[in-house]
Amino acid sequence: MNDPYKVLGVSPSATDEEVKSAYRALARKYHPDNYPADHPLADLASEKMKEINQAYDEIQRMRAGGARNTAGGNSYSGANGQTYAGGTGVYAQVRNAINRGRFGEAESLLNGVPADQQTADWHYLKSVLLARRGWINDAMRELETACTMDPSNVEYQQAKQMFNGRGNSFGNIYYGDNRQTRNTGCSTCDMCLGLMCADSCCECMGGDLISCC
Amino acid sequence: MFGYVKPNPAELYVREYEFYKSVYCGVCRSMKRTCGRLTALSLSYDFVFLALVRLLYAPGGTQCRHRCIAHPLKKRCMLTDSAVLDLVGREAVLLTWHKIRDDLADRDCGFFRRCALRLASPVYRRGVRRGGLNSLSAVCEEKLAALSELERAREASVDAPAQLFGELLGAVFACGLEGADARVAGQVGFHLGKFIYAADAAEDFAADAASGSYNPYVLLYGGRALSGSARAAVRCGLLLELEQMEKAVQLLPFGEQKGIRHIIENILYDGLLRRISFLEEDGGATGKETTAV
Repeated sequence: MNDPYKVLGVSPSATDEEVKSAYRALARKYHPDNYPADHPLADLASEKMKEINQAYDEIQRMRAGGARNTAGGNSYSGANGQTYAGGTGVYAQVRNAINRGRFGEAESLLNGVPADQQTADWHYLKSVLLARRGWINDAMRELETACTMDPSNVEYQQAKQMFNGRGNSFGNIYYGDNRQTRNTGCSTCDMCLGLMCADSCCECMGGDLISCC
Repeated sequence: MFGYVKPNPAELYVREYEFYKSVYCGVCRSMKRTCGRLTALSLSYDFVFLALVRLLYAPGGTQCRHRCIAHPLKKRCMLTDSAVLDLVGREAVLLTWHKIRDDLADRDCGFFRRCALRLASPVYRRGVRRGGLNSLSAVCEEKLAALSELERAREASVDAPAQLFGELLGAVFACGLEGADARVAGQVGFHLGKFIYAADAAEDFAADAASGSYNPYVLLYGGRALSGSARAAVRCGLLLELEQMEKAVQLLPFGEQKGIRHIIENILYDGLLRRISFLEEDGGATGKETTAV
């Protein structure tokens, strides 16, 4: 495979942000929306798109691997099987990774789960990653599996509806999901609300935190 | 019809413009060598664009400095030792020869022009013979015959003749390539050809309306000059054509050749847009002076 950095046109020393924006710009350029199925060069454009996605994943994976080696080397060493055995912990990590845009990391975490321990959540997260890579058919199959394993889960059903409704920005329903932001603690919305509360409290006591309201 | 595809040098790096000029000189030199000295007179900037596109598929060649008849005082940088330049030179001669034949067959052609063309004709015929490219020549002949058929029938649509011209240029761009490469380069040429045909017709509107020569836009819109709404419609069609061309250009194998990429993008996004600036609302005050700054 070609050097993924060359494919994205960034230097290997580029920051995560730079890599991401280069990737986004290229993905917009070669997006299937620009090359409808009847376009004479549609197949070549989709190949290019695949190449870009692979390069991006590759970089993510390389960077995630590097970070683990340097920073978290001992936390993971030898303990892989045990950490995942709990089941719940790893999925929180995967969601976290997806939220932070570290798809390569999320993927390797998911792939580390043994086949007999793959829950509905596993299939669901797998489908998120597949969909982001553009492998829509596989993503739909994984989602279907997740739904049959846990038919009562609202999140899966919503995702399925989005699929059926041909939501063209499939990824967004996951990445902007409130449920995941709750894991990380305090969202922008929470902060605003907190400030407003603090302001009212201060005003009760005769002071003022935010002078304009 | 020729000389349409130019960059805006003001927006290029100096080294890129130097490279562009060296490709021009390189094509000119190889035309002299392969097809005869006089054929090089007809080289236009369009073929430099063609050479740039084809250089992406076969990079290489060496830069060297030579004198030439057109620039006897100062040595110029030239790109040499590239099979691409030879091919482009032969294609340029071929197209020019077909244009000469086409013009001679044209009844509207004036006396002096006809004389000049008759003088030039044997030179180019010999050049074409030396250049080979028989299959491409057959395609040119076929497309141009169909084109003049449409012109005789006074076809009141710009798309039909533009399609033929686009196919012709697509064949020129794809000549010698295979598979996916031929498709991408062919699409670049195809949309460029359609653009050139339509833009040329729009530009010649007033002259053709006065002389009564064939021009699809005159037949469509009538009048002495393009009216405001017609101008907007023509411009919109041309921009859509450029958009299609952009999609093909994006798939060219630029790889590490950032210089060529920048020149090609400059031509696509700037040079060609300037060519049709006369269709803008204000009549294109910035017109043709591409080097203004």
